[in-house]
Amino acid sequence: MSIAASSTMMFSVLILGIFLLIISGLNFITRSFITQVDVIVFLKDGLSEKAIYELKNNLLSYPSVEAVHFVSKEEAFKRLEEKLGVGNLSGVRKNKLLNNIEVSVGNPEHIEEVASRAEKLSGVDHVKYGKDIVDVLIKFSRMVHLIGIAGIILITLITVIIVSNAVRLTIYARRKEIEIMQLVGATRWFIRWPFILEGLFYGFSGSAGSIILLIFICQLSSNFIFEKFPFLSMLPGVTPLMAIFLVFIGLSVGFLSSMISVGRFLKV
Amino acid sequence: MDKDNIIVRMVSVSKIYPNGVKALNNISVDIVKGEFVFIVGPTGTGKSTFLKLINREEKASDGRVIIDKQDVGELSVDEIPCLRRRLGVIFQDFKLLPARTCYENVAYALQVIGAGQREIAYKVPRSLESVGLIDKKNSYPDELSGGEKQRVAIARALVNHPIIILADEPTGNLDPDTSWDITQLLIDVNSQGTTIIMATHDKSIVNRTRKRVIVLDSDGTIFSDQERGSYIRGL
Repeated sequence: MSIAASSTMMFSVLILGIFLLIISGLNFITRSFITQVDVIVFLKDGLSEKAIYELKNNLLSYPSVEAVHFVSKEEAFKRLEEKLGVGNLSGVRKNKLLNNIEVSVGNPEHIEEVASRAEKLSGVDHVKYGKDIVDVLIKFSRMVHLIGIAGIILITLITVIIVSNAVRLTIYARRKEIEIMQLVGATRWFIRWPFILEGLFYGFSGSAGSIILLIFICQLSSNFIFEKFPFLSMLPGVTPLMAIFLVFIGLSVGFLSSMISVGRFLKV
Repeated sequence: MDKDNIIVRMVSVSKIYPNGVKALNNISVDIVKGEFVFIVGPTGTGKSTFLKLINREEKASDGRVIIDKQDVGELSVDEIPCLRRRLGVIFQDFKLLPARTCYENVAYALQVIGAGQREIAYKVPRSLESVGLIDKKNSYPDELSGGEKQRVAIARALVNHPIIILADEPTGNLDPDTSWDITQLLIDVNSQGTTIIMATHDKSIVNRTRKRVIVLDSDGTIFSDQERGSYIRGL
């Protein structure tokens, strides 16, 4: 019986874990897109420091611009290295990269205006921005969060129902004992705690098992993802925080399930 | 009746179950310490309810139930175990745990209220001895006769030295001779000072013992309440 309860718990927490992985993956992707889509003003080669300084000030004078950040070729190169996760890119020609100025726009709705004005400034090679994608991504990210929270609550509730039924069977077998305990004056907590310990045990073993399975699934799928979608290779896997969260959910579900199930057999 | 010695007092008590069944209807009863009281009446007249109100398995819908000067209707859920530790209960179906020996069944009542090993080792053999079953302490319930099972149940009820024993048809599953033996045992327990309230519909036992008899009517009221009474004809 305990195997049934723990494995029920394990698969329920596993589904929750897979769901969390998908949500955190989607969240990661949208975040990384959003941070990529400020206006980037690429500069022509050979501008003097003074000219760059003037350009920066000019851009900053726009009311909707919040900050500007000059990114030199060298810095751009360093970032590329980090992003690709490769130690040494000495083979890449730095000259292919341009100096640029990253422009943070407070309101995504002004991105287009800022971009078109910047494009006309002298010394500017070209401008990159993505207003539409910003809007879509912001909406998408909000939706992902909402679905994430709703999904966690829903799956947790379903888990409580399933596991409390499994636990109820183990308690049902001992209902006569519970009745006698109550009749001779055992306190409710005295009767409850062994079942609650049992529930916590199912919760812990089930969630620990599901974490091991999740890590296994992550490793298998990361090979696949790396081959098919190299740009997604930085996807977060099972983080310690997520593991702690899953164990916490497992313990809470075990506790709640036992409380609910014992409660049904505790007459006053 | 000596007021200080009243151990069970019911004042205008009614009990209506959620399904609408009216088990007890405005009854008032006083039971004095050390009494032996039969609660009789046809099936479904609230005999069990009468006992369940005393150990707070059920709560009165109306009126007050006072046990040893304490209004049990006012007890919180966490205070009920304290009340039950002062009461012993026995049933028609014995309610013994089949996987435990006689000794363990009696000891169980002490374990679940947190008694220590020494207390258990002291009290359990004495309790089994008082019901005459010390020789069978290592037997399992299935190896015992009905009368012996009920004796184990009585030993379990006695082990905490209760102020009252509530017996719900304790002879309902026993043959007449064994029923009489069990009744005798309860009378012995009573003679040592424990109040006994026994619900039964065993006419011969009631008539033979000549104890106080409270007869419940089918409408949940008290039909009669006699000292040294007998089972009323026609019920």
